[in-house]
Amino acid sequence: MDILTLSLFSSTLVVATPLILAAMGGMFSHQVGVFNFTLEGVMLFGSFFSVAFTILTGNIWLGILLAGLACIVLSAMWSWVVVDMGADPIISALGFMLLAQGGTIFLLNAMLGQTGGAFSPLQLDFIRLPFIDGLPVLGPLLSGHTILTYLSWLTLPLFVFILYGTPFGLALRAVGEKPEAAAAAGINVRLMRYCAIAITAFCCALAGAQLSLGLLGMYTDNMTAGRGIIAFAAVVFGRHRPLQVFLVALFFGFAAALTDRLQGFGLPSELLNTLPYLLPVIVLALSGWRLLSRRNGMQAPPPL
Amino acid sequence: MSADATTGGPAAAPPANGFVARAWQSIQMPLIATLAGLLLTTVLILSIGKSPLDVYAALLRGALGSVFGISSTLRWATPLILAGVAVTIGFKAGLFNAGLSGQIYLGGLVGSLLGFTIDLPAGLHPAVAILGGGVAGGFWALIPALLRRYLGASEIVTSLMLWYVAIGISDFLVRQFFRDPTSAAFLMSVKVAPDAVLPSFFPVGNVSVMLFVSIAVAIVAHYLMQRSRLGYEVRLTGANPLYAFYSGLPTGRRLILAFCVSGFLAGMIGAAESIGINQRFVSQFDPGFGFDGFLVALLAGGNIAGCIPAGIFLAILKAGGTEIERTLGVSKSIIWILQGSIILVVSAYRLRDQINALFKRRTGP
Amino acid sequence: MPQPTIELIGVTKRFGSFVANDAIDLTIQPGEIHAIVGENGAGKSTLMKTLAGLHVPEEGRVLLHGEPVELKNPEIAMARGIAMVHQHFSLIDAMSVAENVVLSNPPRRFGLLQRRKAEEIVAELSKTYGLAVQPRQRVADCRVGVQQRVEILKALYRNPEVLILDEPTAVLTPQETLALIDNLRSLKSLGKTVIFITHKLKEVMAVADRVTVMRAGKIVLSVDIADTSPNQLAAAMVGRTLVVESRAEPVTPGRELARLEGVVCTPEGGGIGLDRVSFTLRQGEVVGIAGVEGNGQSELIEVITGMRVPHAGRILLKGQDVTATASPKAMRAAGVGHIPEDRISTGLAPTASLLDNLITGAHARPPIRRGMWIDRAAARTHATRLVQAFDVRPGNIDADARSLSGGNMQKAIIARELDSDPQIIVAAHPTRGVDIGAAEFVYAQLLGRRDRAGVILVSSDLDEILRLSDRILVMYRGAIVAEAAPEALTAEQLGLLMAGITPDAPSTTGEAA
Repeated sequence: MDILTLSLFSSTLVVATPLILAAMGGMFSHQVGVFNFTLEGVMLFGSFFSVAFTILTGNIWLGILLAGLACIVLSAMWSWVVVDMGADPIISALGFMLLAQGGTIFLLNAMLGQTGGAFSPLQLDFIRLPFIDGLPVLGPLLSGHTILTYLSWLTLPLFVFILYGTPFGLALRAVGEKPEAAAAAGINVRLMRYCAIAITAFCCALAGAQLSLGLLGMYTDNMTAGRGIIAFAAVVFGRHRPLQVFLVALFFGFAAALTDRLQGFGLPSELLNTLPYLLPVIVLALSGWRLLSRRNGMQAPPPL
Repeated sequence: MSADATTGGPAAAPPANGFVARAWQSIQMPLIATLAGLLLTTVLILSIGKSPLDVYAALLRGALGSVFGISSTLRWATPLILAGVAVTIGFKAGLFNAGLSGQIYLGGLVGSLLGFTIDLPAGLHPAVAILGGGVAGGFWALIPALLRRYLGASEIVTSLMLWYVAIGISDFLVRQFFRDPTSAAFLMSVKVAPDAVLPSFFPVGNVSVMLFVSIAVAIVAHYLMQRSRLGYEVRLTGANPLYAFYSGLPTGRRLILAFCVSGFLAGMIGAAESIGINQRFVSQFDPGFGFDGFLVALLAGGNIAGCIPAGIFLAILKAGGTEIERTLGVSKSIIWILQGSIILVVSAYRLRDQINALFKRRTGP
Repeated sequence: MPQPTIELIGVTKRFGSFVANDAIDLTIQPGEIHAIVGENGAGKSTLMKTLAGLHVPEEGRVLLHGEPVELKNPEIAMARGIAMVHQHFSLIDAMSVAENVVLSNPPRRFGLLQRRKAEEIVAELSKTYGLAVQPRQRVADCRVGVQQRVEILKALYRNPEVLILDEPTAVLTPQETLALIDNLRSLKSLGKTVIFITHKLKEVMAVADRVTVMRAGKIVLSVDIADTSPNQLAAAMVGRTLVVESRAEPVTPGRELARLEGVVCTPEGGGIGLDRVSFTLRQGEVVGIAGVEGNGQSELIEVITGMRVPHAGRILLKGQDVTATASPKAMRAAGVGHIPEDRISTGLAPTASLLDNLITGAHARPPIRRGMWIDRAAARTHATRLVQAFDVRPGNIDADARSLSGGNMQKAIIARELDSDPQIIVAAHPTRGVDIGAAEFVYAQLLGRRDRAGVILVSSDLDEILRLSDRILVMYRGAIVAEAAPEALTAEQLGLLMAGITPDAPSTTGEAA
């Protein structure tokens, strides 16, 4: 059975793109101490708005940009509820998810007059990297992806730089570690939280754009299908370490690509489809096991 | 006594004495949240050029304006009340059963399985099917409960992931072994035995004895949670797990108990839907009871018996929603928007304090 | 007479109906070291927080260099040259010393963080003011004394004119205190004005130029050090001539109640743990565990109360070896009662009612337990009885537990714990954050139980330990380094032992970082 072909790894990179973008973005919220479970909802909005605005403006870049802005604005609603109004982040995130599911259907109808989905006239190009394209192994692996995929790789060095090499990143980390200390140092904790959530929202919007504009050229209802939750699991496992979040998200993408590949071998599709969802469960269990072995004798049920 | 300004969290509510004051306090936030949600939906309705009054009138008409409407409302109230109770029981232990829908789904599978594989007399068959569905749901909830208890894995993520797994397993089994050969378009199982069907006692529509079961479960669960020893220990575990553990309470066992009971009730919902409404297992039969359960629980303010009025309220929204779509062409999704915004607002604790402060300033000291 | 740096005129601060500061008139001269003394609750911290911009007074004026100012928030106070170092540090454990110090204004170039420059700046500051730190070290790895220096450097980084220190020596050993006093002197010689809040008169006499005594929100005395004496200050603080505290009558120890033999723990993430700890508790005695926080006391409590399983060693309760089956439930069954260090996280369920909190434990036994039910009437009677017997106010058992004040929470916890008549009472910092009246009540309760129980008292309040204990064990770095009767020890000697220095060894001046 030749499963481990080059095209599997190549499709891993494609499939992992929205997971990586959303997870790396979600990491920013984690950095400021916000339990941001809205990744799924924002991604859904992002996938919708990028198609909608592309249709309305006729320009794919404008479409994606406006989608990002729209997601920032919508996510700000959630930010206000959680940061300023002291809402429970999990409950309010579930509310946001409902809002996203209902809102996308409603806006699809209201903005575009359609139901069920919409085709995009434009799609993201597959970019051929000039030098690499010709290379034997690296060529098919690394070349020919959408710009969002390349952007997702960029998030790792970029975000590491932002977090550890800039005063902004220092302030963000301070807010997450100990808000009182950050406030005492004159950092505007509230503003930092809003900023971080906005960055998360923009990244999730891009993730959604990759789904609709990058892969299928269309938007369909509920097309995110839990990807945002999987990305969230990557953030939970990687915590605030960018490399770890990146790798876990990539791994989850691999699982999803593998599932797709295995379908070609006649294994029942419904069962295979559960694999990408089982994996985060196993990963969380293992991470809990690891923490457990370090607990050295403490008795209480392990905290989250 | 002070509100914690930096780290958030609800400040202690001023002690309310007297039944009316306490009732007002518990209904305050859901009321404000509902009004806020209605405000948003009104704006949206106006933006698409329809009249909000028409919409809301259609809503009420659809839900309460006819026998069919009332039957619809009661039909939805049945699972919604139970879902709210299931979520609230999880809340009491400090757990979020985000994967309620997965437990419902498996409950539906097992319930319908028991409906068409075994043979029992008419009174017993539905009961066994529903209880069997409950067991399936309880078992499905056991997995995230154990992972949480022993490995500290977030039950929110694990139960949610297992939802998709439940769908995969159930759909696969039905497609492989129990498929109804006459239906090409939908994936559904063969019909359950006639003895297994949960009959409706209402003249129109489908309202079964399950409605009374739901209400009874809510009342009994409320009573048990408040008055029984197990209920006390569950509540304390949820209120402060470290303190409960230090006091010698078996917090791990109580966590698992609460989560599994939650799953059991969810499984019952799935089974009742399958043998009562659909009379078979239908893929994707769950129209989002998981989310609805959360909303009912939130509106009930953590009060188990409060899930009864809250469930009925949401049922009105649901029943009315179909009418809105039918007569006015306004998508049902507007109800989801309403639900989502209510959740957003009702979870904003400090909003209550700010609004109270606003009132105090107006009326003077 | 040079113009005073700071003048407070008629400053009054209220919290609801409680008057924390009552028409305060205070003058701080430039370049002086000014001590503010008083008992717990006298209003010292509140007054200084007003200067630091954390509180806005209801009445009165503040003048800086003769100019009236409104210090509405800490940023404004900082801009005016007033910096405050608080009692509880607000440092970020995961970050380095340098990052913590420069957090308020990190050196940057073209948007890039200049880490090396930050470290250089911190090294400079450290040298100038004689506050030895290692800029690259993670704060989490620094000892408390070093952490405090980081806090002070953090304040000095903003180049203030006035530095306020709130109870700076609360967590320091006597040796670290001497080092700090030296630092205060160099701050003064470098032109800073220093105000420090304390209740330790020795420090005041050692370094202050002027001292102000507060009591119940008012200023009762404000003089030059040269013109006063510790006795006069103490009398002003307390408002009556001091009565020498009589120690409790010792009781002849009875049977052995608890014994630890060679207990070893290694907690997660490194840290101190327990290093072959052995001791015995007998009925009728109060064993005081003295030590600077973080030297294993928490782990010791966790082991005795069943929260932590030791890696080696034995625990015996009432003669039974319970090491293998240790758990909070088992320990409680064996007669252990626990008054925890942290009320809110382990002593109570704040969001639950007082009633629910008071019946924990008793809920599983008759008369409150009736089969699988809880007898509401019996529960209410039980709770009401406890509330009355222990004077918990307000007495509304249906109110949320978090609505109680710290002292009343403590009384409620003690009521519940003692009601089950434990023979082994573990009391951890039982009077922390509790007012005088409640503290005396706590002492009376603990001492009153000696006819049938033994008490293990863990506290960082040396006076408390000296007053209550029949035997004192000193913990340092997870081990018991000394055992003595309180009559045989002075606070000085205790402090030395707590810093790991045995009295025979030559004393070291100051400390290596």
